[in-house]
Amino acid sequence: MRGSFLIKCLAFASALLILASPLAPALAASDEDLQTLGMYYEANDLVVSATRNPKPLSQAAENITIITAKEIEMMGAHTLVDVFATVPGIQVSDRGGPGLFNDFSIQGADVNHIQVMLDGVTLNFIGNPFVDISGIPLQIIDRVEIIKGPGSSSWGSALGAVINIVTKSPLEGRNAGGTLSFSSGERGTRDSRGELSGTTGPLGYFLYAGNLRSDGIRPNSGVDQNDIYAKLRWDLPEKGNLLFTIAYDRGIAGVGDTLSKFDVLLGFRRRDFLSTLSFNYPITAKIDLDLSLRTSYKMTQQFVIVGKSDGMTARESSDGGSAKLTWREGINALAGGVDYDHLDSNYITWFHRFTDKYGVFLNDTLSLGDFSITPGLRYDQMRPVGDFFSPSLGVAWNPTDKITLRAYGAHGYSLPLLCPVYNPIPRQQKVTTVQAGVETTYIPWLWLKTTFFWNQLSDVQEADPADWSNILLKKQLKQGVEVEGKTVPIFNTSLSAGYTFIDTKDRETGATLRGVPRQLVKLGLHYDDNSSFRGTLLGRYGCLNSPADFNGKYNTIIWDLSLAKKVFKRHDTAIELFFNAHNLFNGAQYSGQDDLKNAQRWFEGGIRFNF
Amino acid sequence: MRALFLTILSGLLFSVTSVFAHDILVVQSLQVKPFDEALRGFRSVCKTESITVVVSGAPGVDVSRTVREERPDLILAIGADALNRVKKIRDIPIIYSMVLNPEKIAGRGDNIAGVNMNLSPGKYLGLMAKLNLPNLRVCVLYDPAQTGNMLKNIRQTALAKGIEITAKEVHNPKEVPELLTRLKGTCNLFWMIPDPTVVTPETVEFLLLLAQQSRVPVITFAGKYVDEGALASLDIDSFDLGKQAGEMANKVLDGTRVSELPDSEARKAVLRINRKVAKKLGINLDALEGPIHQTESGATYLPAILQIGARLEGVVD
Repeated sequence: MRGSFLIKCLAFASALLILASPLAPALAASDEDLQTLGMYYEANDLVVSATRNPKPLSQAAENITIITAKEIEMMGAHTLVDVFATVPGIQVSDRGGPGLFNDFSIQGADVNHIQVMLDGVTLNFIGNPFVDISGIPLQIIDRVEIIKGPGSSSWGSALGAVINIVTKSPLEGRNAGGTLSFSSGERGTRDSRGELSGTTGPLGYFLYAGNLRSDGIRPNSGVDQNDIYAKLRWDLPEKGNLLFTIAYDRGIAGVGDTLSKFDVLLGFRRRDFLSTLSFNYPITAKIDLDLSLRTSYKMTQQFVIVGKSDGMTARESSDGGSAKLTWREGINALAGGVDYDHLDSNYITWFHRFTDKYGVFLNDTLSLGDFSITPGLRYDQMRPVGDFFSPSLGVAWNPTDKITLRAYGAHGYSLPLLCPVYNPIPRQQKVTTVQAGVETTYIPWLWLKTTFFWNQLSDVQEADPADWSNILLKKQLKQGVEVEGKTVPIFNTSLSAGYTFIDTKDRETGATLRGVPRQLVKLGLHYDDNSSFRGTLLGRYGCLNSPADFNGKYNTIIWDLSLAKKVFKRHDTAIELFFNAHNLFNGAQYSGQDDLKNAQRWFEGGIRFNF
Repeated sequence: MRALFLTILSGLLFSVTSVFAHDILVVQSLQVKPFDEALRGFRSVCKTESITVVVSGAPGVDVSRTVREERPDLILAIGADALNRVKKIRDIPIIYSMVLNPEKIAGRGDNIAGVNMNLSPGKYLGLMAKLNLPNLRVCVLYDPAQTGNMLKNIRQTALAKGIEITAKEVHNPKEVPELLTRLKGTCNLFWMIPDPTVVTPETVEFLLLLAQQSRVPVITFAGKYVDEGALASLDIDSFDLGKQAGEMANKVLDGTRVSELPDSEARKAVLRINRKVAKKLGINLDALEGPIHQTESGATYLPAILQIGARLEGVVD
């Protein structure tokens, strides 16, 4: 039954893609260029053919997805969790409202196998297998780069994927500009954000402050969080620059109706701080030097709202730095460097660990005609885990400008579980991966990308459900295929679709892993008249494969609608009204774990002022 | 095994040669015919190996990263978005083409030069003079934020040629109809300049209708308006704009400093005329339509046009 439903969904998506493909002009267009060319040329001279692929992606052998600030603005999202829910291959658990701590996976890789970085600072806890991305304000993000698959040869502990969040740069060419936005929705949901940015002489700045609060769409899913962020850039007289960033986030949130059957309701307090100072200097025309220092503190405190239970607090701080040298000579673009971090992890009251970890890495890109070969190697050392070599080798081949063929192999790791249970053998969790894929624009007006992945994992660590003081070491296989497609717009309208099939098994018992999504479908209908009106309809479906006794429900597509209309525009000033309908058809999509259910239909509206 | 791997890796990493992968990085805003033509023109004179990145269809494309990876000798930016994306790069020469207002985007960096999309005002004023209108008075609408500099240039050139210019500021397309109505009777020719605030589908329709009613000829920058009722246009030639950029690139690759290169205007103009409108307005086009000459390059020129540097491409009968 579920299979036939899925087939219908895919058939629908394919039909939409095919129907739209013969007519369309552009995937995304430069507004200013189109406006200028529109003055000079007839519309039929401005039909855009499907584009060649950008160099960085065409040279990358890994499966990389990039999400831009403009795409994020179109989504009606509140946090990064909402954004990830739209990306092919990513499954996000919805705990019942915006701004809550959420679990997510990428192509079946658990969150503790995914490294998340903001401004180059790793956000993962080392003492606990989670990373909280709900406190990262969307408005500070310039783009998010997602590498699906191990990224250990560059980044260290990243067995499953790497998420690199790149923040906005100061606005060029203006002393001041920015955005103020406010939205209000059901259950007292209010999202207020403001950013100010500009460049004066050699100094550039970007400042942000925001608040998100809600009484929660589901029971015990309220949130109240405040964020501030600042970035200062100083261009040095001759060349190079200094960059300083600081981010602070403080919030309180429910965790959903998770334990209501035991008459206990829990909440989370969160406090995160991070700061970086970096020096970027081109030593010669071919050699760049990047030096950076970083410090971070994160605290998550679980507290009891109703009933009796033990509260828990996780605190971690880290101080560290990196040095990187990039050298381009001939066919080589070589990046090498070192990372060092001193970590202080404090969990509950009895787990307290100081440790140092360092890594040395060397990554190269060799350009040999149509081929790009990317060997990489990283060596990591950390007490008490020991050392690890992470090699990788990738090949990207562009036989024509309309096709890229990719192959990638790597051996990688993630840090072991160090808490909350005592881990007698804190060894790395390991993966060997092989990926291959094709990206093409051969079909007119359609961009298509397919990636096959095969990940063999060993020493995967899970707490023994029968005895929480024991760690189980597992051998697993996670393999599958991912297909993504986008059309160029017709009458300002374009379509996107993504399908991921994930086959998993326990390599010792042969049993399928429960709780890992088996199929993920993402659909999108996008409209942008490049002038005043834009809208997005996004659908997501996940065959969550949760254990039968969880009573999960996931046989419908969740649809989110976002509409925005500019009501005033003059020079750099614009006022835009927007409206978001979340879970438009009130569908159910949850695994049933901890009795958590996704948020039902809710609406909100707001205003955005750009100046 | 580990030692073997390291040996192979080291071999790959340090197989450094002195051959550059690509000497020119072409960053193109959109893949549309005019930009493709410009690139074709560029490549017709600049034969250096290049690689092209089209940024519009690649959400999130990080041009700076591409530049870091490619480390080209020169960057060609085709279109405003492309120039916008590369303008922060300070240590590599940047040549732009098909950009309307480059100074608005990039200022005048020491490493940035190129060809804008504007023809010299002298070419337009030369064409207007050849229409032999008695007591030539020219009206122009412009937005100071968009084409303020161009208007300064127009005023200076017109002053030298003794042509009277009446220019009115526009800040919003909605102001255009009222301003045009107010200008009625003050001039005997309207000059439509490429100003995005003034030129929109709605304003052009109103302008051409009003011009027809008032019997005022319109000279414009794009042939498409000649089909709609303007008397004549001097168009840019995107292929030649690319060629101009290619010639600049050759100079830079031969050692000329970018700061020594002037920001250039489009040099080649293509004339389109509407005989029907001319007949209605009683304008004699003889000065434009002399015997046709074939030039060495194969282009078809008219003698009068040669003096204003334009090529006749089409005539609407």
